[in-house]
Amino acid sequence: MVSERYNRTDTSVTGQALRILARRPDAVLVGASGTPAVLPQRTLKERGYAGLIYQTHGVANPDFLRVGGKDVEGTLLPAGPILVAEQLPGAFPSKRVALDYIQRYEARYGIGSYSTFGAHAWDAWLILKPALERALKKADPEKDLAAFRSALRDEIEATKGLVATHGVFTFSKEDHLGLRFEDAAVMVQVEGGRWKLIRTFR
Amino acid sequence: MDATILGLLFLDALQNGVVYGLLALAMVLVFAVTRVILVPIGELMMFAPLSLVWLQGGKLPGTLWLALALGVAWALLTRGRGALLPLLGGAGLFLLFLLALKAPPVAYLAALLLVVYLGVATYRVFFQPMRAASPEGEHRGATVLAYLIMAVGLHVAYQGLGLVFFGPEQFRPAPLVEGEALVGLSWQGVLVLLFALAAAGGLYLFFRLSLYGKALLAAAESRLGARLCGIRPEEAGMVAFAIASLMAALSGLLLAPLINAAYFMGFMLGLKGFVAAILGGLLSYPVAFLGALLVGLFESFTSFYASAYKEALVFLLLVPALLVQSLRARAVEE
Repeated sequence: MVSERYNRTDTSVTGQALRILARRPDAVLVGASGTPAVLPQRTLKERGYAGLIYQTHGVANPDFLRVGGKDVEGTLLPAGPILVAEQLPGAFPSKRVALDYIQRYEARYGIGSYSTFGAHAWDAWLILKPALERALKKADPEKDLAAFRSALRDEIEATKGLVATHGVFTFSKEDHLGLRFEDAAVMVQVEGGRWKLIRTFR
Repeated sequence: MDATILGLLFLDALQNGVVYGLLALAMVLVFAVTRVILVPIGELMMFAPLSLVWLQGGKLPGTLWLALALGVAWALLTRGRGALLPLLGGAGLFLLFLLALKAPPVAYLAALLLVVYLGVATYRVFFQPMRAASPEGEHRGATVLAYLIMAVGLHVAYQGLGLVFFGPEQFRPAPLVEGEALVGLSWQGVLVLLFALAAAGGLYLFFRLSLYGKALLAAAESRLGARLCGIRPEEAGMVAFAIASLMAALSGLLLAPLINAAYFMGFMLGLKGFVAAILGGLLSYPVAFLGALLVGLFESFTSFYASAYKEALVFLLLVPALLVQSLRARAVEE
């Protein structure tokens, strides 16, 4: 194991890449978000690394593919299932909601414009809207703001089995993440400049 | 650590070092002539490839409107026939951009001239009025500190505008030449090295042979003396800014396919060029260039041995340099 650091403003990561390659690794994980994640991968390729390269869900936007081009072919990453919504098996719970979101988003901003990040905000709204409606029935924020806030928290914690674009949310007093791993992550590979689903964990 | 790794690190250091060197030369030149520490040079450097990418994508970049707006301010500040230069230059720039939308090879020239125009307009609109307004009178100019504050402000503003114009992600224009010359050095990297060599040589010849170059040297040596010889300091300042922005734009265009251009990429490059310029005492061109190579070497080896502390270690180079400088400092003309 070897771990090296770099900045998004770095213009060269040759030193780090050489140090990693000197250990002859089977796989390299790049922890970065967006297009600055391309440079280390390109440097590794240029220095002759042919092993596995993993990225994180931080790169799941179209710009990563645009800047990376041929250099990021074969990259493996775990991502929210919406990234490959149309390739998901029909029984995958969030498939329908995800496709609906993509259709609405692309109708507004153009084909191929969506990324997983906007979908997180959409999910937040899907959770918040019914919780807000229920909380408004219990307390009036104009009269008693503190009571309304705790009512809203209780209603969000009471959310059960809400199907969203990134998975199925079931909150409780203890669980404020609300997601189960099997529904919320899939493995994706870059193939021919596109995201390709390679496995789900269900 | 074996010979291969050593060689690759040296090549990496050389490629980074010459870019810092070019920026350091530009900074020393601008500082010598105008006493301005050109912090926003990194932004000017990134505006060139980003504008190019926008043009190649068939869109007019926001930097064009910024340059034209500054050009109008420049024309308003200059009364009489002097206003023709910014107006005609701005109109020419606009036409060149329209042409570049139709003919892609022109885009390189358009991006280059845009940055030069922007650089000169920046000097004329922001720095020169400070010079005239300073209490010491026009021949002394504002203090180095006042210029520095303005320069940092411009850096923040231009970086913010870069985010507005070009978005948060990086862009990679196609390299002019593909492939690797030898292991660890791409042909594009060779171009960068050749350009650095040509630019350093060109600057040397410019200062030795051309009248403008000699006038710049004179203005850098003594402002009052240069004025008495009929050299207008504002013109010298504009020429210095034009050369500095030309060097920044050219190195930005050549470098972008290697490092991926983005609005935030310029600052660190500029800062390391500044460290190199400080190693040369903001005075000496050859020492600044050698300092830049040292910064590149230091950076390359620290990124290998202690990548987490790379930036801190590189900027630590400033401490001994400043110590030496302040020990042997004489009173600097402000």
